[in-house]
Amino acid sequence: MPRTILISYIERDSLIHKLNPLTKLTALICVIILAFILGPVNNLILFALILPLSYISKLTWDVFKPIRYLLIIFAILFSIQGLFYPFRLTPLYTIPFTNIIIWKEGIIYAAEISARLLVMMVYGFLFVLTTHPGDLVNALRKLKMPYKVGYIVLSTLHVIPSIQMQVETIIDAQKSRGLDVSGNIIKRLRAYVPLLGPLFIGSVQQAVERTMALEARAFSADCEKTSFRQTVFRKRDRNIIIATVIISVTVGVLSWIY
Amino acid sequence: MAIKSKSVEKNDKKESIFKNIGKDFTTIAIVLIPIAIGINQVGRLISTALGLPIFLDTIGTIFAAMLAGPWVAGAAGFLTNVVTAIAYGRPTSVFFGLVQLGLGLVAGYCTYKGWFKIWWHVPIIGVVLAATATLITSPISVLVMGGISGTGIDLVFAFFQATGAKFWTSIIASRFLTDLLDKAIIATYLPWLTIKGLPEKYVKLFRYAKLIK
Repeated sequence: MPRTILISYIERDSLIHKLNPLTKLTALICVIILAFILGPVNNLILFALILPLSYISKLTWDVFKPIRYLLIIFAILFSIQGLFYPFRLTPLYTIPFTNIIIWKEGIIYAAEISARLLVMMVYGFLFVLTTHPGDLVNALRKLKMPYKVGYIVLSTLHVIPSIQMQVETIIDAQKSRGLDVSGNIIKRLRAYVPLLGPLFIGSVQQAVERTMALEARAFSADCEKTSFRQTVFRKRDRNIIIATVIISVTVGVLSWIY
Repeated sequence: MAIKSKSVEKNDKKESIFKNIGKDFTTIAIVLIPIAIGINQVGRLISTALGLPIFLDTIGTIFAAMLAGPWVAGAAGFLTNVVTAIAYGRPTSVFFGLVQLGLGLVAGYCTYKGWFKIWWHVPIIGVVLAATATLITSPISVLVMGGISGTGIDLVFAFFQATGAKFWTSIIASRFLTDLLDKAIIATYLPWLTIKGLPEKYVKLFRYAKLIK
């Protein structure tokens, strides 16, 4: 069965799952700001802190999935910056029998960027795995975020899989009429037109139908909207927010001074 | 029908664009945003499936700009990256939301001014959009990703650096080359052709589509 909602959330009964989404969001923002301030070594220490967190959240190895995607980026980053970094001064290693030199400054720069990316990606993924998008939107709405923004974010998660299915249907239909998707770049670019044309027209039709369905359910009426998913802001949420902010400010200021 | 009367009532072209912010977000415009985001995602999927060296993830934003104006398109563009961040857990993509925001605003402003009416204006606006995208992407990409994108653009970037060009020159040149191919050729022409051929009954539902016809 094709998936009908685009979501990475994994249901577990853990302390981190039960926290208010706003608490987790504040912590995530703190970590991202720290990742930009700290150097590569400190960032690796920050990355190591994910281990106890992933244990508490009962997700174990799922948290490390983005590393597969990151490895490609790291490979390109290290090879391009190691070989061609513009502020190169000291050669680190010369590949034997060639005059290809790997530069020290480039490797340091690449290490800095990749440690930062590693921290941001893994913590971001932990946030997504432990927070249901519906809870996040509900918590943000309590902070006076407009109801319509919440609708856009949540309905997009449903619309994307349905559009993907639509595209698959269009590709199959055009292929059965003899659409050629191989060949040189110009040929492949041309294959775009018969694919996206029907998608655009179809999406306008879909928008009109959705609008009528929404209006029939009083979408633009000015009244209090209720929500299926409920979030609570407990005392421990407040304490955790205060603790994370204080710790990150101290760590940030300390690493900025030294 | 309620939706029709809302968007058809006034054709206030002379009003300042900033007074339109609230009025632009009609129900149909709000519904268009998730669909534009979906088209952005699908554009990227198809381009990887066809093995093209460009992103093509701005088609939906530009499509929304042509139908519903700068504010809706800017929101659609920025939310594209917010939703990517929420769905796949990639917080870095939020930074690149600024690129899409800028593109949506510029494309929407061109629509508002009626510059899309003539066919040979379209590639010129495409070049302007490519320049906008390059100017916003380059610093963000250096700061967040070290200039790497994980796609074919990196090869162009490596080529420029290998020839001894300066860091910023090679970043901007490689981005602009691919952005030209992306925005000036495909991402503006395809939505434009579609809206030119859109049936009249749909055109009058959107506030900005009639400025293109």
